[in-house]
Amino acid sequence: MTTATCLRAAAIASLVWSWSATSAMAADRLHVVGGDVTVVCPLTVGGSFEAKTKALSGDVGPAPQQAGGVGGALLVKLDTLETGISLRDRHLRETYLEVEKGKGYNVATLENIQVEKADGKGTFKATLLLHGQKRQVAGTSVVHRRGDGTTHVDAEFPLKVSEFEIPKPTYLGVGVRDEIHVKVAFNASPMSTTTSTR
Amino acid sequence: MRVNGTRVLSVLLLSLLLVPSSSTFALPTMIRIGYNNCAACHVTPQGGGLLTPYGKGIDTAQSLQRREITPPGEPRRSLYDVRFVLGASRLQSDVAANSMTSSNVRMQLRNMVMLSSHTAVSYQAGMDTAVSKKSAGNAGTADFVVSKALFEYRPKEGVAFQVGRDALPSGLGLPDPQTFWRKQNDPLGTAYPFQAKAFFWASHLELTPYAFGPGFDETDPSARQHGGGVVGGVDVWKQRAVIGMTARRSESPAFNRRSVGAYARLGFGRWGILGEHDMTSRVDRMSVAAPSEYVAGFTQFFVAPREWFVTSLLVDDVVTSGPTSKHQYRLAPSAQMRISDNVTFVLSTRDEFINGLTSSSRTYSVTVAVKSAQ
Repeated sequence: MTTATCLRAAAIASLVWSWSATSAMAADRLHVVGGDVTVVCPLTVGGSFEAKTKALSGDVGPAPQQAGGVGGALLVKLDTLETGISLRDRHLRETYLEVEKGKGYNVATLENIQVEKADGKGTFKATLLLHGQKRQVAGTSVVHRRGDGTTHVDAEFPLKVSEFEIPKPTYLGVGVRDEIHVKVAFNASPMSTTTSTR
Repeated sequence: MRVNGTRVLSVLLLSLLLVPSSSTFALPTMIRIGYNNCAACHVTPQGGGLLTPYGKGIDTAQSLQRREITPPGEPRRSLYDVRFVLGASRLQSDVAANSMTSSNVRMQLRNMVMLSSHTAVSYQAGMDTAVSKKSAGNAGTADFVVSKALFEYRPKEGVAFQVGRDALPSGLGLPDPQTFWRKQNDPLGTAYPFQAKAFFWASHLELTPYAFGPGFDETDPSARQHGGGVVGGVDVWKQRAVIGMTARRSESPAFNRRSVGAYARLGFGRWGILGEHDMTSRVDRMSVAAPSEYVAGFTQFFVAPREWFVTSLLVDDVVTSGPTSKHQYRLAPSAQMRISDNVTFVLSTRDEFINGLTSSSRTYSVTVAVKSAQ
């Protein structure tokens, strides 16, 4: 076997290995196919309101380089948040989240996710990009793997508005407390399934 | 306080017919978007009546004609509004002689003055005039009514003490079911007794113990009651579901009463359910007749297709056992349209049925509430 033939064989073997590894990883990766994000905002005088959106997207999957690590990211379009009162929606989006500033402001991104348990109830840590600021958040998650290959995830975590340099939300003397709660629920399907059904 | 009443029966009947939809006074339906108590929007934690600046902002934001409210430079020491409620209704009864057309005008001044950072006085007073037209003739009334006169001490957020004249606390804070129930089990009593009450509220708890005495506008002095009670509830689900209990005991020269009840306020975004049920036992002190037992229920299913447009189906029900046994219930679909922070329209019909009697009736009513904006 000449050197050229050896090199060609090695190149083909490496291509085959690389393709099969990519395929295996793609099969493990999950694509978000439907979700709900609810932000519970307690008011300083009692009561609360919820800001909700279904505009959750993203792909997640195992990150081989770290135990419990989840690659990919979850994205939430913030200009779709609704609170039940349209004036409040406008204040939330324009005055506080400043979504018109564009990148880093119009989408919240949850990445560098590390989950304690890939199935069942556990805790998680992640990095949240919100209002142009990246901060660590931590909370609880429940991962339910179904027999059909899909996965349902419920997660929630608290965050402090002030840590993300969001102006203190107040309206006519009534404010939102600094600590709010974010609840995320989504269904995800294996990317290969998602791709083949497209 | 009633200073001029011409026909007591007419007043009672008209006040029942012409009280505008409860939703124009208080909005426990706001639990659908997370407001699980009244204190955020109303100056008194019992709800109803005058709005706080924030409440005015929400009121305006949820109107068809929205506008931004500019906050005052510094908090106002006095909050007030003037409110006109115009009602017109047509009652059609199985008994032709009971059918009637009626109209009423209610003019109210509502005011709260802060005496210090922790104390305030508030009152609500005005004229109620009503005219009814029946085949037997016309009737008219004009009454000066003080529906609220309170001194309040609020040592900190979530705690308030009040003394004065007001409606008694209830689980839903709606005057309409209270009026209907009172018609059954306390027809000669007052809607606004003097009372001392305490309010404790937090994100998941509400508690209101109270003691009360006569209002001195009872139709019959023997119906002047004194007693006490408690209303207490907990939020059991995401500030969207409050369930609670009520209890009340009272005595008068004519009778003793004991009540126990339960209530629920549930909201799910655009719709929700309000319910309050109550069992009352009334023992006549002047006769040896068996006690009268009343089981009363109020349920409201509501849907808000738009922020300014709320539709409801209300069901009232009172079962009376004892010497005057009967079963009375009402079915009332209604639609409330908040046109602006000044004008609200309410359209409703109400079918009233009384088992054992033939005088079932239907009432069509239109209410326009106009109030000044400070």
